[in-house]
Amino acid sequence: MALCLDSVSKIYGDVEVLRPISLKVPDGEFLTVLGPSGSGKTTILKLIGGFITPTHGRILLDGKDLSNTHISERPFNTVFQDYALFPHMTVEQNIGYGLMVKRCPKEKMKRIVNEALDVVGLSEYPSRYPAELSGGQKQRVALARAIVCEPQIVLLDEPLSALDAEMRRQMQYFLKSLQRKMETTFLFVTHDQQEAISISDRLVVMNDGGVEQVGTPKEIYYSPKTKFVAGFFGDNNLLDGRLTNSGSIDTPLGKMPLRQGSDLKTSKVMVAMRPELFQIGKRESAFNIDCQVQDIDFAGDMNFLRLTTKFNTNHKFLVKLPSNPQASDIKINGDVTISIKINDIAQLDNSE
Amino acid sequence: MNYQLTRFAIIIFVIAVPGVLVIFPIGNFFLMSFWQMENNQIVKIFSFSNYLYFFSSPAYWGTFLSTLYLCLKVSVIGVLVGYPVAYFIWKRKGWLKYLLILLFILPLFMSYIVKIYTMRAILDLSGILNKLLVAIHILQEPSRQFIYNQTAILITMVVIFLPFIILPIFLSLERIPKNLVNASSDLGAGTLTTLRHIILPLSLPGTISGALFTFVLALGDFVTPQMVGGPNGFTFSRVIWSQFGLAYNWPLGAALGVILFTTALFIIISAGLASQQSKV
Repeated sequence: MALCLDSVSKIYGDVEVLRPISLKVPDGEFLTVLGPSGSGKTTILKLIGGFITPTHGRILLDGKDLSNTHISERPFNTVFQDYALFPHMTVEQNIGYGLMVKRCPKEKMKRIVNEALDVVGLSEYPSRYPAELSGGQKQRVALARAIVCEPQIVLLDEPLSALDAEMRRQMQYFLKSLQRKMETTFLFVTHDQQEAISISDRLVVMNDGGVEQVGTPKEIYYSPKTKFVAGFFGDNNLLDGRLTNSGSIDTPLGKMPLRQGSDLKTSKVMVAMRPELFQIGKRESAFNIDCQVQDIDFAGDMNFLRLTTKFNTNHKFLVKLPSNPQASDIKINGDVTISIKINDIAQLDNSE
Repeated sequence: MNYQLTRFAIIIFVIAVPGVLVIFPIGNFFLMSFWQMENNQIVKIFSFSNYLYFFSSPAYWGTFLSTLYLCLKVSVIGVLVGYPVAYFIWKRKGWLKYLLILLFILPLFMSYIVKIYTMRAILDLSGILNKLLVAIHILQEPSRQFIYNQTAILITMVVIFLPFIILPIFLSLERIPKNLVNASSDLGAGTLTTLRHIILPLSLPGTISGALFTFVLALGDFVTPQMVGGPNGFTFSRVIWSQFGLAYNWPLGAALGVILFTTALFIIISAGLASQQSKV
């Protein structure tokens, strides 16, 4: 157990930008803090980095309170969103800055900086100035600068948001493999769900200054605990429901049994069904829905079926089916029954 | 057609106004510096005699050099005083920062003569400075060290030109992204290390332009030396003034003016080149 947030909160004036949050980050984890803008995700990063101080609560590293530890003394290094490279220093000087400050001997510094240049693939540009680099190159200088001091935690504040899609994918893969190689904790802040899911060991989903859910990417994707999380990642089919005394859920489309290990607390609940978990045709011990096909979108690898339920045409469903070259027997305006296994359905409390 | 005519008129205007108001008088002076004075009459005969006179009389170029040295001291002391002030103001937060910078710039809106009189009242034998130093037993009795000499000119110029140093330094500090300071701390640098490696180099252009402003202003200032310098406070600008106002030797005054102007121009250009070299 390395980093620990103990009911940390931040209040500016009378605005609570971060509601009390408690979190444990074990060593060597790739943890992503994810949320829309204004959700408080960057605030968490700034609090850990020491750029701002918490209004309440404590931040502990290996059990030691960091409250009175200045930014410069925390064993963390940050990759800033705008890179924050020193414009008057070369790539080499930028990367070596942390070592220079710590009075690292010249020879050793040179060696470490060259290694870092190698790792990020910038060996050819040691004496360029930041103004002479592309966005992706600046990004890699910022990353190299943050890892040469061998911090216990690397803090990354939306570092990929300024890159184009292709560069972004490359950097995501690079970050992940770098983190595995270094075995250092990476604390990554982003607003991009796809990025967060593919890159992290664990996710913290934030909304409106509070934590919605903490979990592995699979847990977050398939077993959302709140309405926000259920709607935040990709496409989902949401239905309101009511928990009955007999241990099932009343939905507008009929009764639905509880899934295994269900831990619903309130009577007002919501069910969420991923479009890719449906199959065509009635099945036993599954939730079956009779629908009419409104539209079929061919997306190459997938067919997107837009359906309305027979019961009430206001209920719209999206189903994703793997595509194949054969002609389909599903026709627009035709009838179709879709089914989803009970244990594939996410059932969550809907406190709103 | 009409549009082109308007364009043409605008261009002529843009060229003509500075041409008439700046270049014509300077050119006129430049010409005059080659003329002679005979029997209190300006004789329009071209010769280098005014310039030769300047270089052959140690009284003139001696004063010239000592004035350059004085102005250099004003700039350097101004930066040494002004930089910490600008830095301090920059470090304040919210409205206090802008209130403070406003207070330090406010003297620019006051009359120059009033400021010099105020400084004279402070530095005089019976002035506040002497009273203060006697009161805290640094001096036994009021001293004449601070008035009617080169030191008086130095102190007064530094004080009066301070806003011209503080403002450009403050502005260049304001232009440093906050994140660079954060990044420096994040990489383990303390306040002094950040100041030395990040803030000082990045605010260098503002510091140079502040120092330049002051140097050029001090070089041309003949009122301050006259008011607080007394008989010992002779500066080159005062020499030039006396050629026009007392000796009525306008050609010689013009030649001395051209020498001063060329020197100032040379210093501005070389400082400009130097600050461009510094990769910011």
